[in-house]
Amino acid sequence: MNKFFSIVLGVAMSLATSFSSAQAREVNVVAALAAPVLQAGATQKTFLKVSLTGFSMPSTTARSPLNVAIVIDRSGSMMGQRIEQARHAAVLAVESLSKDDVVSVVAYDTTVEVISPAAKASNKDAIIEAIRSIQATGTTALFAGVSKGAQEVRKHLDRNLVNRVILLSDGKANVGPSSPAELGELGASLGREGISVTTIGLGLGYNEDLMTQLAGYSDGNHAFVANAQDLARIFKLEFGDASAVVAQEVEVGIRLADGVKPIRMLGREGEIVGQNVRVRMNQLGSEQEKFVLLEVEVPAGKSGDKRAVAEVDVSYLNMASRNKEAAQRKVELSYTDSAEKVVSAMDKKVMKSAVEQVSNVMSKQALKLRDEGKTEEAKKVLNENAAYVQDQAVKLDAPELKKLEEEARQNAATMGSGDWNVQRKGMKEQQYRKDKQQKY
Amino acid sequence: MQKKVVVALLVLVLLPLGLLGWIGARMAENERQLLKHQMGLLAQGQLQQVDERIQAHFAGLQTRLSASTPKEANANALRDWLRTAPQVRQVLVIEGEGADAGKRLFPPAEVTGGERLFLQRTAALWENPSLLMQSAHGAAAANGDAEPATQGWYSWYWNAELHHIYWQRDAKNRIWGFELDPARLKADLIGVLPASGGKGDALARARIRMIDGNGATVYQWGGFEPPEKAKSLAMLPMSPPLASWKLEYYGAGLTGASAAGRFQMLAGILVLAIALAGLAFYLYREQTRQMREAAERVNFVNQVSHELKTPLTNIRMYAELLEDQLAEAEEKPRRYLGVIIAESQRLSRLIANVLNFARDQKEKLKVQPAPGCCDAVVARCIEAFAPALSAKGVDIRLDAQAPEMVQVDAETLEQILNNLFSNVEKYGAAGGALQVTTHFSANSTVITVRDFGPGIPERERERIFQPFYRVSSKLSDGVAGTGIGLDIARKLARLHGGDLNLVPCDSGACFELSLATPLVEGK
Repeated sequence: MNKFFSIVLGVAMSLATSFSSAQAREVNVVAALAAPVLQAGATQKTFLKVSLTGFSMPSTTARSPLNVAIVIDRSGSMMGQRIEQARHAAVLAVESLSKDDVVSVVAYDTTVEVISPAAKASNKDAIIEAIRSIQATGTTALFAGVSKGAQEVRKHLDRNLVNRVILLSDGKANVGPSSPAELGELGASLGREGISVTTIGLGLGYNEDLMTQLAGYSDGNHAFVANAQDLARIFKLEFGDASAVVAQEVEVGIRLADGVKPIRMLGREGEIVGQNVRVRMNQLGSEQEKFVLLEVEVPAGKSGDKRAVAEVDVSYLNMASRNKEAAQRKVELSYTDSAEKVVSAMDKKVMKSAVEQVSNVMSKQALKLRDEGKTEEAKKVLNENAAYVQDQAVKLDAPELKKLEEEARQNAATMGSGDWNVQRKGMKEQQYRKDKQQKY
Repeated sequence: MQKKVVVALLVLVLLPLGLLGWIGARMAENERQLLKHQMGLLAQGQLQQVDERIQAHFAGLQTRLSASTPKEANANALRDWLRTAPQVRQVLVIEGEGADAGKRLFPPAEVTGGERLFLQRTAALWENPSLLMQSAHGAAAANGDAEPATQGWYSWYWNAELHHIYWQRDAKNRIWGFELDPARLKADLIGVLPASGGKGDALARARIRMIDGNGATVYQWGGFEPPEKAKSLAMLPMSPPLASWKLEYYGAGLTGASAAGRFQMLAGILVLAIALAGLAFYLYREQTRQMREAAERVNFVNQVSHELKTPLTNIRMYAELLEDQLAEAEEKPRRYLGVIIAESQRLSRLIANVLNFARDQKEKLKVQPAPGCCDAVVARCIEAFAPALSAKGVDIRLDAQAPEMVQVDAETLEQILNNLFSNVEKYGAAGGALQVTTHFSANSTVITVRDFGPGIPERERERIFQPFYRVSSKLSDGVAGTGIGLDIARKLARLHGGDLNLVPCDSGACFELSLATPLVEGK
C-alpha cells in the first residue's frame, strides 16, 4: 500500500513538475532519497539527492547577455603555437558574441595589461585587433591577472548578466599570491559576488590543484587541454555553457528532521550547521542537472511508520523571467519488514548519482595516495573503485555506469607506468566534472 | 734631463686631463645625485599617491561595511549576509556593556566549519577582546585620546599571512568586527591599482611593486622591467592597516640620461687629450732639437777649450820659466811677462770653468780630496791675484785660521777662490779692500771672501748662482765674464760637502764658502 502510494505520488509529482517547467520555465527541483523505503528496526544510512535541472532555453536570442573577462596567460612559456592558438580561440569566442554581451580581455605576464577594457561587444573589430597584439613574454602573475579580470567584470556586474572570468593558463603562478588555498579563497570571494571563474589549463606546466580550487570555489568550469589546437573547441564549449545559463544565485537549503543526522556531502562543498545544510551554486545551465548529494543517517523505525526526513528550500534567480523564484520540497520515508519492498522502492537515479560520487571519492583517495608515493595502494583503490562501479551497475541495471568503470580501470592501468603529470591533470579534470556536474 | 722633460710634458698633458676628468666626473656625479634626488622625490610622490589610493579604498570599504551590515547579531541573518559579502570572510560581534560585556554574540555557540577556523585564528582576541581597541588608528585617532575609539583596524599574522579585522561600535556599544578575506583584499587592491601597458600607461618607464610583510611581491605594474637585484629609487612603508607592507619604485630614466652625459664628457676629454698630446709632442720635439743643439754647442766649446788648454799651459809654463831666468834689472820685460802670466792665468781659469761646466752638464763633475792645507791654498790664490788687485788699488787683508792638514781637493778649492777673487777684481775693486778669513772647526773649513764694493742687490742674491746670469750684462760696464763662475763655484762647493752662499753684510759682497774637510789623522 505504502509502496503504491509513494510511486503514485512520485510519478504525479514528476509529471507535474515537468509539465510546469515546460510551461512556466522554472527550474525542475527534485528531492529524493536513494532508499525511500527502509528496512524496519535498524539505524541506516542513505543518500538524499536534491536535483536541479535547468529548463530549456526558449531560443538562443532570448539568452541572458554575458559579462565575460577573458584572461590570457602570456608568460614566456606560452610562446609560439600556444599563444597563437589562444589568440585564435579568443578571437573566435569574441566573434560569437552578440552585441549585448560585455567582454573584456586581460593579458598578464609579470605585470597585467588590460588589452581591451570591459565594453559591449558592438565593436568587435577593435577587440579582435587588440587580441591579435598579444605576445608572449615574462613570468606568471596569475593572481593579479584574475584580479584584474574580475575588476573588469565588476564594472558591469549585474545579476541579470552571466558574470564570468575565463582564465587560460599554462604555467604555475610565480608572481604574487600563488598557493592553491589563496586562489581558492579568491574564487570563493568572487563566487559570493556572483562571478564564477572558469579555468582552462593548457599543456602540462600548470598547477591543477590551483586551477580546480579557483574554479571550484566560484562554481566555474575547469578543463584540461593537453593540445593547444583544442583551445578553440574548449572556448566554444565554455562560451556555449555561459550562453546557456538559465538560473543564477542558486541557493539550496536542506533542513533535516530531528533524529536524522547529516553524515557527509559528496561532490559539492556546503555548509553544515546542526541540522541545516546550505549549498550555493552560481549558475545553472539550460537542461543541465546539478545536484546536492547528502549522506544521512536515519534512526530505526517500525514497519509501517512514516518519517519526515527533510524539508528542502531552493531559491534562484530565473534568468528568463528575471525574478527570484523559490521551490519547496518535503522528503519522507517509510519503514517496512519486507526486503523485497526495500529493493523495489530504491530510486535508481539517486543511487546512480551516489555511485558516481562515491566512485569519485575513491578516485580522489587514489590520487592522494599516489601523491604520497603509494602507487600500488593507489592502484588497488582504483581497481576496487572499478569493481564497486561494476557491481553497482549490475545491481542498478545501469549500463551507463560502464563508462565510469572503464575510466577507473584505465586510471589503474596507467598508474605507475604512464606520465603521472598527464594522468593527474586528467584525473583532476574528471573529478572536478563529477563534483560540479560540469556540462562539458 | 731628457727624462725630466718627458715627465714634465706628461704632467702637462695628464694633469689638465685628470683635473678635467675629475671635475667632469664630479659634476656628472653631482648632476646625477641631483637628478636621483629629484627622481626620488618624484617617485616618492607617486608612491604617496598609490598609498592614498589604497587608503581611499579602505575608507570606502569601511563605509560600505557599516552601511550593509545587518543591525542585529542574529546568527542566520549574519550568515546570510556573509554569503553575499564578497570582501568579508567572517564576522564577530562582542557585547560591549552591561553584565555580559565581552560576551561573544557571534559566531554563536553552534559554529560552522568556517566559523570554527575563524575562532582558532582569533583565539588571542577571545582571550583578550581589548586587543581590538588597542589597535585603534586612522579615523579613530581623530577622535582624540579622551573618547574611546569607535572604530579601527586590528591586524595580525596567522599562518604567515596578514589578516585584518575592521571593527566598529554600534549604538548599543556592541563591537562588530569584520574579518577581511586576505586573498580578496589583495585582489581588490590589485583592482584599484593601475594595470600596465597600453597607450596611456603613465608608468611606461618605471615599475612600482607592492610588497607584503614577507617580502613577496603582491602586485607590480609599469612598463620597466628592473634587472635582478636592482635597487629601488624610492621606498614607502604603507599606511595602516597594511603597516608591514611597502611600496617600491624602480626606474630606468636615470641610467639612460647619465650615459649620454658620460659620452659627451668622454668625447670632450678625448678631444682635449688629442690637442694636449699634439702640443706636448711639438714641445718635446722642439725641446729635443734645442737640447741637441745646445749639447752640440757645449761640446764644441768643450773641444775648443781642450784644444786651448794645452797651448795655454805651455805658454804659462814658459812665461814663468822666462820670468825666473830674467835678471832683476830687466824691468820692462819683467813687467810684460807679468802681464802675459796674469792673462794666461785668467785664461786658464776661464777654461777650467768652461770645462767644469761641460763636465757638470754631463754630470761628470767630481772632487778628489787629498791631504792638504787650506790656508796654503788660500795664500797661493791670493798671491796669484795680488798683482792684478794691487794694480786696481785693492788692499788684501788675510786672517788665516785654518792651518790644519785636512782632506781637501786643493784644485777645486783653488778654482772656487779664483772665481770669487776674480769677481772681486771685476766688480768689487772700487771698495779698495778684500778681506779673506779662514776658519777650521769640526771637520769643516769656512772661508769668507768680502769686498767693499757696490755689493749685490737683495733680489739678485740667489740668482747670481744661476748659470749665465749676470747682475749687469751691459758691455759698456767694461767688465767681462761668462756668468758661469759662481754657478760652478757653488756646485763644486756642494760636491765637496759644503756650500757657497752670499751672506748679508754692511757694505760690499760677502761670500761664505764652507767645505767638508775631515782632519787628516796623525799630522
